[in-house]
Amino acid sequence: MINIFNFVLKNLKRRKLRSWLTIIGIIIGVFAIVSLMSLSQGLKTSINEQFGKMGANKITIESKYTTFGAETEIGLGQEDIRNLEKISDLEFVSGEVNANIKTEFNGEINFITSKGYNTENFERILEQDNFKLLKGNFFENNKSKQVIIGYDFYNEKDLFDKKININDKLEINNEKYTVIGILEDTGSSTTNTLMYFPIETLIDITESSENSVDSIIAIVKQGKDIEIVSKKIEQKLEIKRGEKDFTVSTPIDKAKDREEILNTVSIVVIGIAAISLLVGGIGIMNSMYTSVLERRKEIGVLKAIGAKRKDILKIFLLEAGLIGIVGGAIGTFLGFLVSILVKIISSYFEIDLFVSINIEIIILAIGFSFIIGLISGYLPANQASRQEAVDSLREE
Amino acid sequence: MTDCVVELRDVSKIYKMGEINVKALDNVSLKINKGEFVSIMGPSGSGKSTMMHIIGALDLPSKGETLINGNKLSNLSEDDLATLRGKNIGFVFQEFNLITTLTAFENVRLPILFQEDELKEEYNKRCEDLLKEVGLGDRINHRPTELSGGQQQRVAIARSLANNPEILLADEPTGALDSKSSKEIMNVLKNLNKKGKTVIIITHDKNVAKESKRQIFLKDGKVLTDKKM
Repeated sequence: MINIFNFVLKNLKRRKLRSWLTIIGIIIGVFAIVSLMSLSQGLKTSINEQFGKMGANKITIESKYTTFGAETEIGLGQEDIRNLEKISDLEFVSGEVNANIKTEFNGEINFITSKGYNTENFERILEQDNFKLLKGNFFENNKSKQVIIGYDFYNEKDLFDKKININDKLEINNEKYTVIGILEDTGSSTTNTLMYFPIETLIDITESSENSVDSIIAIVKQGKDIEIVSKKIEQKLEIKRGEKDFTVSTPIDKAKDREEILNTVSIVVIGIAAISLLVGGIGIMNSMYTSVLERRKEIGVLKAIGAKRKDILKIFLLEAGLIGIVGGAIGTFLGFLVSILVKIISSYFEIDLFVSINIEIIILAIGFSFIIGLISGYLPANQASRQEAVDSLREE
Repeated sequence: MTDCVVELRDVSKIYKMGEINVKALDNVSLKINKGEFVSIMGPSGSGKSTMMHIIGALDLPSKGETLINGNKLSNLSEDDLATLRGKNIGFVFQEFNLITTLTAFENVRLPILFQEDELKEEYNKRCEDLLKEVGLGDRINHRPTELSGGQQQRVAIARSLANNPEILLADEPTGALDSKSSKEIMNVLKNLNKKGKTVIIITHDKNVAKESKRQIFLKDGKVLTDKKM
């Protein structure tokens, strides 16, 4: 059976090498765009997922000035926490202290990233990050010399040669701290290698003033609008402190910031890839013009046997469009293949990349390359359709 | 009037070659009736090819009027002309002009693709029958490159008949063939004429012209003689 599509397919096969070279031009462009799109979308998904884990009702208050743990009046402190606790929309408020602590265990010394929180709501704070206690207990009070460790200390020997368990003692600044709890595996080596302390214990260890927590986290009660509550916090603190020397941010703010940066990066990168697709389109145009020139006689014959202008236009447009579709399909396939490869390789380096393979990208990529084919093929096809039959036949 | 399939009324065709005008056809009038077997002869430059293009509705005259089946061509758009060619005129070229990527059958099927309801199943049967009629029933799925010159020209004749036109217009149909194949092709054309097709052959070969029933001789764009044999 023969129809126009069949005829067009055979035309492309006739100039196999040139068709494939033209198709490769499209493949490269689509491949670049698809792999970058699926990777950057994957990056977005994984960042958003992390934000999801972080808890949507957590407001973070930070001082505008870095305090470096020094004795200072401008840092945030326990007084601010007490003031914020008076806001009824908040479930609870806690200070957060971050430090890198020189820790000795079994004669081995490591620097461990540590966090200190108010112990009254320690469990809820962990819940915000979706962390749970695997075994052991929570702290007795804000000053107890106790530590809760991440899963990797317990399970792996990367940090300390000897695995750490409940009731083991860690030595910090010549003092012993008892391991009271171990967290469940979080799936990320960053959070699996954290140590947690009661807030005042950690402040003591770092020898900084009571008034220098790194940030304050405030958890909004269910059903309260986080944006409104964050405004309340801002007003209250400004009145109490006399000036606005702090920032209040919600997960939405942070997500917005990161997404904006990501979007900019994607646009730039995909823009560069689009240039190669443009070059691919010019390749189609070039190939089609050559084809129209080569087939002047054939066009004449087709017109003689009854092909109308739109028939010729259809034949050449379909050829160009088909080049686009084939290039688009192969490029999409390769693009996904490479992004999966990148995911596999990066997983060897313990980087968790999401690769987003969705039907939208596939339809978009193939549809777009078909359109590029049509656009690039239009001028040559139009030239072919306007060719006078009698002129091309006379060239015998 | 009903019998006249092709009519040229005072047709002139003028080509501009740089500064000078060349009159390829000079005030030619002629009528070809249904069922005629006409050969148009003349030396090169006599206007044969131009006449073929004008009779075949591939070109319009600079002056005068072409009528196919009584329809004036000057009123028709380019697409209407294409449709008219497809339906009413079958072209056979000296160089066969088959599409090399398509099989014999597909080449014959091709003209129907440009007509309405082009995908009807019954057309496939007709195309096969046409190939059988020109003696290529066993070569239906061969490509042109797998066929001899004579066979290719027979495919081309079958193609020209695909839309069942009343006029067959052949431009030097034996020009690229040896004498044996030429004879075969002429027999095919004669048979078609017997079955009622109007056959018009453009040729400079007297032996070919001899086979026809009417010889028109052109010189310098004018009809020199027009003899019924």
